[in-house]
Amino acid sequence: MQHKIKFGRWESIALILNLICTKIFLYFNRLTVEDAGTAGWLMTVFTCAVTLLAYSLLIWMYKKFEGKDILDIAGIAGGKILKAITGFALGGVLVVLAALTMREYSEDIKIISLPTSPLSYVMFFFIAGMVTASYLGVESIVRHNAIITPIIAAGYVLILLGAIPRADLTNLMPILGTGLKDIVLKGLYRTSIFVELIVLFMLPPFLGSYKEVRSVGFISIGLSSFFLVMGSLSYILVFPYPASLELFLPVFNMATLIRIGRFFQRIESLFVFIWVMSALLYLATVFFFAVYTFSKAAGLKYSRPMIIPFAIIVFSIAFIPLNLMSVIEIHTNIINSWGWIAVFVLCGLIMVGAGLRKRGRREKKGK
Amino acid sequence: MSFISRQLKKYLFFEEPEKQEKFILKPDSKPAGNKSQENDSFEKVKEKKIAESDQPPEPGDEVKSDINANLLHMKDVYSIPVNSDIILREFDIVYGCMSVRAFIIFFDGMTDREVINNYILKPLMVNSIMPLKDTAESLEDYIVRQLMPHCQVSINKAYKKAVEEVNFGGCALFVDGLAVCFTADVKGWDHRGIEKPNNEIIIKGPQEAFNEVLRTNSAQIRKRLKDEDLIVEDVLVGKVSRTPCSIMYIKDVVNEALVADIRRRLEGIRVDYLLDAGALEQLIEDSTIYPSPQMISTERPDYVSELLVSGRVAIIVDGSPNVLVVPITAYDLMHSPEDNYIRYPYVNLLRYIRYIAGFLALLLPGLYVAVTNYHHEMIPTDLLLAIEASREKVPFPSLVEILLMELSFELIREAGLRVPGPIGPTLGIIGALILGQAAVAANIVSPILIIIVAVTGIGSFAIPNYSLAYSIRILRFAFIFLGVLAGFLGITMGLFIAGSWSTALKSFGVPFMAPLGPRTSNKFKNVIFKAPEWKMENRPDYLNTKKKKMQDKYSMQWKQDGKKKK
Repeated sequence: MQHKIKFGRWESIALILNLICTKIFLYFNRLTVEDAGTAGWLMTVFTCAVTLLAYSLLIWMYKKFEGKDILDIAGIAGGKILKAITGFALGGVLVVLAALTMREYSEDIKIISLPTSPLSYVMFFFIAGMVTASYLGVESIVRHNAIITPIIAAGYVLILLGAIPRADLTNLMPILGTGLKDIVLKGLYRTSIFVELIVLFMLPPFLGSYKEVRSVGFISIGLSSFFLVMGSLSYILVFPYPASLELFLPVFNMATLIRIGRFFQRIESLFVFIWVMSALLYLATVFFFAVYTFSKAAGLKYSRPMIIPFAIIVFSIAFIPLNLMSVIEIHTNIINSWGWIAVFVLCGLIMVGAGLRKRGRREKKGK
Repeated sequence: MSFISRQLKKYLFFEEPEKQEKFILKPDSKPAGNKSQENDSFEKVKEKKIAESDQPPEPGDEVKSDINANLLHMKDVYSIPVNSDIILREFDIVYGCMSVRAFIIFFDGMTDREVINNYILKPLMVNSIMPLKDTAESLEDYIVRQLMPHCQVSINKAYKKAVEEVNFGGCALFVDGLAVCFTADVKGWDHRGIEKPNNEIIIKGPQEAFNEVLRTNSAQIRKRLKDEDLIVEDVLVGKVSRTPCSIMYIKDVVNEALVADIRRRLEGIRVDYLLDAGALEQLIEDSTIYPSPQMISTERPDYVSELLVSGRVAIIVDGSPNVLVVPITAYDLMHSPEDNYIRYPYVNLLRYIRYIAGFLALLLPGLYVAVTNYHHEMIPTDLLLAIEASREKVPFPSLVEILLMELSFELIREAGLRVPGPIGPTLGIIGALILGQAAVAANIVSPILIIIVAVTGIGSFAIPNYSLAYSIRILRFAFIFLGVLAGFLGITMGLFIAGSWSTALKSFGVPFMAPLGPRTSNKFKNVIFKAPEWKMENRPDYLNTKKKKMQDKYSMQWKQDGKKKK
């Protein structure tokens, strides 16, 4: 389809990094505290380590399928039917991710800056950015990620640095939080926070060699882990445990605490810039790959004509949850609890299946 | 209506897109629409040019051996005697013991009369009386070798060539009995001399600018580069005007596919007249609706020379004092020619200031509207009170207030350009002081807004590229409306769309946001920052030049020599 387009390692790392880390700006830090109390950051360390292990296993299985994305591999494993089923399943996950994230961001922006504006009006701005970027194509999206992601990361680090004076080491106690059991068990299913790795398995045709795919995965998971752990740790350091369970936008709330002298006291509005930029990049990427996955699964030559219909679908799905709380609930209790099935189990099973099928064919030929 | 329905159809119904190959500049890239790179290699082009010059004339276009037929043809072509500035002079040449009829034709005012009288007519009419040195020599050879003591004489078999030469300040000689005509380059029109640059003023560095003469302009570059590999390739653009344009590049540096693509674009222009580089820019750029320029248009030969050395290509248009340079990236538009002549710490300071200026010119009014309408909390209380106190008596919402002032400022700027020279500064003072002061006194706008508009205006003047400043002026209004519609959310969405558009764009096959998106090597040497001169070892990676290095690793060899001696 568009496999003539190639992009580099840094662009891909920036893309995956932003996809995984956007949730820091939303609910992630609070989620870790809800799961493991003051040991939320330890749970994040555990989750990241498990994800790295799981990715190592997946990428080891992927070795035989150099240059192929997960849909191509599904095609090898079960022909066109499995390819279509996989495409629709993964595309569906991406569509739901786009819709929920857009709704959550819109609700949050409405609370912070535009309280009197209707929700659909706020959403329109996200939809406009998302659709425009998708029309401009994947090259534009990845390059934009390469330029903006470092700026977003720098802004985030500045917020963390600005909040240092408020940090209190005693907030980390008890060090194991709600207990080792929570750290391990909840940490295991919270590997779902890496659900956006689905996009990584759609990237190989654009990346080329196996080595590139492998290093992009490891580096982006490593960097995301760093930011996720830092986010979780700083949140626990700044807000005492009981208060940290109540805050609906952890990083925004941290930004509100920053005071530099008498004049610079309310700089959290500036935070809206990096926040919205990160959201737009996330939505553009997820939406583009949702459309791309569906088109590829359906064997369509062009994915562009699907952009507007899919935008309408995403817009409609975004309105299904009743309110912000329902969105957060779906996000945390469904997507970020069971997302690991889509990334690790589904992709793993497809690779195992394709591997067996390949071996079977080879043996047949040998006979 | 038809336009609207066409656009609606375009978005509502699917039409299979036409297959269009886009040019991407890579080490092995091919120009778009051309399957074979070999056809565009430098050697092949050379062969093609030689073949073109040897091509026989088209049927009906051949010069006749009968002087009367030629005379009638030329009179017909130049509408003689209606056309008053064309000169047709008939005379006789003595060849051996014969007297042969001849005539020359040229445009008065475009040619040098002295040259025509002394080096064309005088030898033909007076020197021909002298006895022949070699009786066996033909009349054609005799004229070229002995009777035309001029450095640029060519023999043409087609009228078309002769007419082209005459139209561009040459003179054509037709002789009875010869089925050829002789043309000599005797250009001599009045033109501006080499003056100081008017728009790209710098303090340190050369102070010469291009003028309207093609060859003077190419010579200005050649005298700086002094390289036999510097090629000046001519292409005629315009079906009627036949405007000579020159493609200039360094043969052993530039990517040949880039030159081939530029040649393809220039040869593919179908217009009657081409009068300036500004018009050509719009005919060859990649995106015609993208606000920012996609090539550098400069009046400075030193800047063009520097860009040629880096592996870019210059396009000179006859009659234009601006030279186009391609390909460029977004960051090049924020560079000034002076960046090469002052020490790098100063350059870095100036570049930061320019980026801040660009940011202010683009976003400040939009941010003001966003903050006053949606994000009051981010203004410190004391400042908020001051702003609100100053706005208390203003009856308009901040959008109307800022639009009023921005439009007034744009009016002053436009009027300042149009009014005669001496009144210009007066108008500026009237506009800035009286209008601003009066507007505040009349409670139409708040004093803080005057500061916002003034800073925005100053910011736009600090942008080194004139066309980029225009695009920022246009986009500023878009950001004002986005700020009104949704505060920071709207402005961020605007920035996102602008960024996505820029990253999708290419300038002659080079990604417009390179080397940051996509990333290429040496991205920090001369993009936003400028490294010291001795560090500028490589040419920009995204240009995929033949030679990667611009200077030795140890460009200050004397330091190494000093170390060895120790």
